[in-house]
Amino acid sequence: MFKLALRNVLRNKRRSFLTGLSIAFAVMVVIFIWTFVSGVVAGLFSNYVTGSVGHIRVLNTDYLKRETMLPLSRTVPDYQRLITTLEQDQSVKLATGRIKFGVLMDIKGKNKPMLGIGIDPQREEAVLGLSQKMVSGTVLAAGTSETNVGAGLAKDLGLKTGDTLTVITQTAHGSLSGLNLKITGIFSLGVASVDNRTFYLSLDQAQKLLDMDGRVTEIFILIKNPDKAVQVAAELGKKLPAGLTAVPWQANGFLYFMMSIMKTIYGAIYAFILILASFTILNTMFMAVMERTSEIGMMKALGMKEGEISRLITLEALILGVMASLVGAAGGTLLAYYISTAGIDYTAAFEKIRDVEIPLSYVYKGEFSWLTILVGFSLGVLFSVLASIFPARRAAKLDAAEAMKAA
Amino acid sequence: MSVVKMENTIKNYKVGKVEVPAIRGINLSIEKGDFAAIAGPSGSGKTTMLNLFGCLDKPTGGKVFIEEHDVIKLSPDELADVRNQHIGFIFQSFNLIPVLTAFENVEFPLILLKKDGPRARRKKVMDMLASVGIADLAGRRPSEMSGGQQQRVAIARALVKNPDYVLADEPTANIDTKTGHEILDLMQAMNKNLGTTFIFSTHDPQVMGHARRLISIRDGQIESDQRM
Repeated sequence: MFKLALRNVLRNKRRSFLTGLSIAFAVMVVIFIWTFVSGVVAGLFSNYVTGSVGHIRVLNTDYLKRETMLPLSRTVPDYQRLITTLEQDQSVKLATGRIKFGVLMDIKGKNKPMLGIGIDPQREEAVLGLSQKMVSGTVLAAGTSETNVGAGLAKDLGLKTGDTLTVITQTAHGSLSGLNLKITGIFSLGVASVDNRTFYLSLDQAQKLLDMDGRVTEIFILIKNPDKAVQVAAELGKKLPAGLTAVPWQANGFLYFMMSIMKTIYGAIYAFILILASFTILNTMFMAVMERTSEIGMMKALGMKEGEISRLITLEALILGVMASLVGAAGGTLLAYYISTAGIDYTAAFEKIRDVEIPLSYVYKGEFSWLTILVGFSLGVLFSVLASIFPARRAAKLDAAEAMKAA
Repeated sequence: MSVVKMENTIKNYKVGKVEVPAIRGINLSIEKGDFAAIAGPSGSGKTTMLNLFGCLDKPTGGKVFIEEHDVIKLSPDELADVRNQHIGFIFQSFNLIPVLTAFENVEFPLILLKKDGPRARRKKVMDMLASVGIADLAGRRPSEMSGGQQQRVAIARALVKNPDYVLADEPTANIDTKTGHEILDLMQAMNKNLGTTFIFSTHDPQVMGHARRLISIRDGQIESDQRM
């Protein structure tokens, strides 16, 4: 049966080639888009986690209600002890304290909002990876009045490594305070909303500047399985003192919505592309059945059963689908590898939307995965087989005597 | 001993809203070893009779027995089994599978039978190709053979599974006279040596001349049934 099916596929080489080409192209496009979109979604998630929300944050409940105002009077007290407690949970990978505060800069007569973030540089290396992201200079050291400035912000202020950044802001009690910070390095996380308005300083210096001894605005947590953040946050919440709350990343409606909608929309796009391509197999198999009507009638006369005829047609579609999907997967692998390493650079485009707070990267890279390639290949084969159902049934139901009359 | 029998068999076809009778109450029994020709003009019912003998169709009324099986009671798969196990076919246009070699075409019915392993099948096929005189063409495809050679392959295919009877629909219609003679002589030899029953449909006097039993049919009824 396999030999007969294979030879039937090769019977009309041009037609089989063209049909296979459409399946191969569809598989290649699906793999490429899937790889790219996976990378974008992963990047979006990573940027948001890195830049803002973490997998879980522990916040003062009142702070959460007014977070956009960055209210320094609503804080997380005794954070060191809390971090020790939280890190005892098996699900938690890392917990670190942060202080976020707003600063208004005057640049050539225009007001520019900036975000200062006090961090523990050693712990934050696992989150921000600053040492790999420095454009110039070095990562700030804990316990010093050093600072690292985002590349976009440095460019706007005309700052470079070695300069002094004077920060004047309001403390947690409402009084004015100031600090001179030495710029030891300029970073680029590749996220416009961070690079264009953020500077990092040592947590203890931020506490000193803002008069927040022993307190932070949030505890930033990474867990081992981000998909389980809702459940883990619920568990961690039970260990928190009154007035504090554990917030999973999914609570950020915007990010969660964007990721879900992207998966749904692109899932529909993949299905659409494959259905379109499988129409060529449907057409080819119908033509093959029509051309071989007399032959099918003869095979039935010789004793071939309806199920065997049907399986023969389906096997032909399967062979064509496998061959085409292999070619498509090979091409898709090359494209996926390219987009995962080179990516697409949107730096010039994002210059026009510097102050947008969506965590967009400058360069979008795909997320290469052999699973994506395997799924793309499998979908190509599956849709090819599904497309053969009607022609196979048509062939099986042919009346042998009538079929043999067809020339 | 009868290999196939019709008892008061009727077959009507629907043409639009009209029922057209093709076979009108035929009683006929084909005996083992017969070399019978069913002769008649176009539209007489020859092909319909062959379709009924071949389990490719069911009667509208009456009965058709093949080896004691009443075909009217059989499902499509059971009819396929009967064709597979008991009946060989030789078609007017040879109807070989073009992508298979002569060997593979002859082997095809044995594969459907699922009785023999590859070695046993190979022996049967080569023996049969040798007996029809084309063992050296085993590796050729139909497009690489003449009409006469293709018909020999078709004969081999029909006989390789040792059927109870062989149905041949105008077997010499698409080959020249000389080759047609050779084919008929070959089938006669198979009939004599193997005892295989042959049933032809024909309006070719040459074919009728070879038959040992001549059944004449007109307007769906038997006109005469003579043993020569």
